[in-house]
Amino acid sequence: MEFAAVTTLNALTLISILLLVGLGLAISFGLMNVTNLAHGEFVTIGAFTVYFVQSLGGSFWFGLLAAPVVGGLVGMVLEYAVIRHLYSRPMSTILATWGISLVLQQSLELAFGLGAKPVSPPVEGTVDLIVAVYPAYRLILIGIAAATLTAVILLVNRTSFGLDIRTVIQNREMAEGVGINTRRSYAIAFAFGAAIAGLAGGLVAPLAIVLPQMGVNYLANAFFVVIVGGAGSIAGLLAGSVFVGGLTSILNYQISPSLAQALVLLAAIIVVRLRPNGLLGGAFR
Amino acid sequence: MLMIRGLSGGYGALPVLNGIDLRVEAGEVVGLLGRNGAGKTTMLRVIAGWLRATSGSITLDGQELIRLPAFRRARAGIAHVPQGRGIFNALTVRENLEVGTRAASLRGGQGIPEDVFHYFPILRERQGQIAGTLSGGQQQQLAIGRALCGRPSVLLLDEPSEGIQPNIVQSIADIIPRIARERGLAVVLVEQNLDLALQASDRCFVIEKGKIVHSATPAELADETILKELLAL
Ligand SMILES: Nc1ncnc2c1ncn2[C@@H]1O[C@H](COP(=O)(O)OP(=O)(O)OP(=O)(O)O)[C@@H](O)[C@H]1O
Ligand SMILES: [Mg+2]
Repeated sequence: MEFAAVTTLNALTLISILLLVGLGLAISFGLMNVTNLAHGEFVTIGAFTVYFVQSLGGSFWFGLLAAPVVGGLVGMVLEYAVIRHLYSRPMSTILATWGISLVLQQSLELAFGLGAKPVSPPVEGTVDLIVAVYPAYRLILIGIAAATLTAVILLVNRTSFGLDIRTVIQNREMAEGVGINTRRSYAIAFAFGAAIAGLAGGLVAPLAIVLPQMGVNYLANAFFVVIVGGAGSIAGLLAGSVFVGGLTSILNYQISPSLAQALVLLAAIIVVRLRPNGLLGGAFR
Repeated sequence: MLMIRGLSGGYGALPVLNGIDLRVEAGEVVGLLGRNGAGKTTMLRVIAGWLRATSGSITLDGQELIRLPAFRRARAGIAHVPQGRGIFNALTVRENLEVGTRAASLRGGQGIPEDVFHYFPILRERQGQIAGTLSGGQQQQLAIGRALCGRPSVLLLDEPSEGIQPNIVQSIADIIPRIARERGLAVVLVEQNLDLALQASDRCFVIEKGKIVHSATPAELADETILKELLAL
């Protein structure tokens, strides 16, 4: 009983992180057709922001607020300086963002030095959930992720900016035709995805090994999530996160993490073979 | 008033339009006829800014639009109902109309104009329906209604009768001149359906190889021998 509950909660923690990282990727890769290999670095930047704030004596919560802001700003600059020039050239985008990801990693290493950066959680200790005893911070993380997802769903479905984005995604030319500045919508959507990834990095920082290279792992997993779930809907994103996060958590108990990762990749390939548009593919369009 | 002078343009290096001159007054419907591939769609796309013009000028009440991107032309008052209608299929009817108001937002046009529902009562009934599930005729009405939501001064219509049941074609033929008069719209109507074009237009032009080669009144074109000669059917 306890084992099952802890495994479920561990899975929920991972699913929460994957969901937030995958959200940005679903926007850029799934909806804008931009393969951004630097997406993982937004996670890294978020984690480093929290580390940096804490190292100056600031609180974790302030760092967590700053993480999406810094991630979003870096995303905005990246979109403006590079990505917008390459919307019609997928191969160039892949190469350029790969290069940028390496530059960002090196810059962080130059600025902050080698070695893992310590980040302490805002609350220590555990909570007794009757069926299991579980670290309090992880429960907070799950709650924040759920709240963020809810806010994003409301933003997309209930606001006029959300309507613009749904319009641009469906038919960019016609969206221009009704007077929407689609360049601007793309830029905002991209920066928004980067901000959410930055938030994910901030959230995961107390649990992860904070290194300039940490983003690579999240990038790979987020791609699994988006491809398995089927790009283009939040339900698909949720399905993909549950699939990848759940499977990884269960396998991590039985076998070594790298073997688990390989098996998840294998499972992802099988899903995509069976359902080329993902588990919930086509739900949006 | 929409004024087009010496307009050329097309797809990349391939020129399709070769110096179009056209003037459309407010409240007037101008029919544009021509064979398949004559350049009618291309012309509307260049006017709307969806395709680059290589030379020429497009002015709307004196304001030069030729260098503006498509969304700025929409905001300046050019509404384009493209061939194929361009409905946002996953949005509801109401959401389609709502994004249609974006073009008017900077000019102070708030909300969906009430007369859109007078022209197309079906849109009021179907507000909550997903637009992709409407019939072809209903989608065409939605596309025109959405264009009106931007409170435009020019309406570019590309084959509104394409793939639509005959009774709705007739109602569209009735409504186009009515909208033009009541809203003071300059309408450019591209149509393969000659009955509709002749019924709805005040003046007609024949376009051939990217040039306007004839102009005539609908009454003149109602004479079949002249029509056949002009369109070389
Ligand atoms: N996407 C495109 N790329 C290159 N050339 C094109 C493209 N679309 C159309 N053309 C060419 O431009 C010319 C004019 O096409 P256009 O679509 O404007 O004709 P049209 O008068 O609207 O014809 P229709 O009555 O069939 O709709 C044609 O020769 C066509 O082959
Ligand atoms: Mg055409």
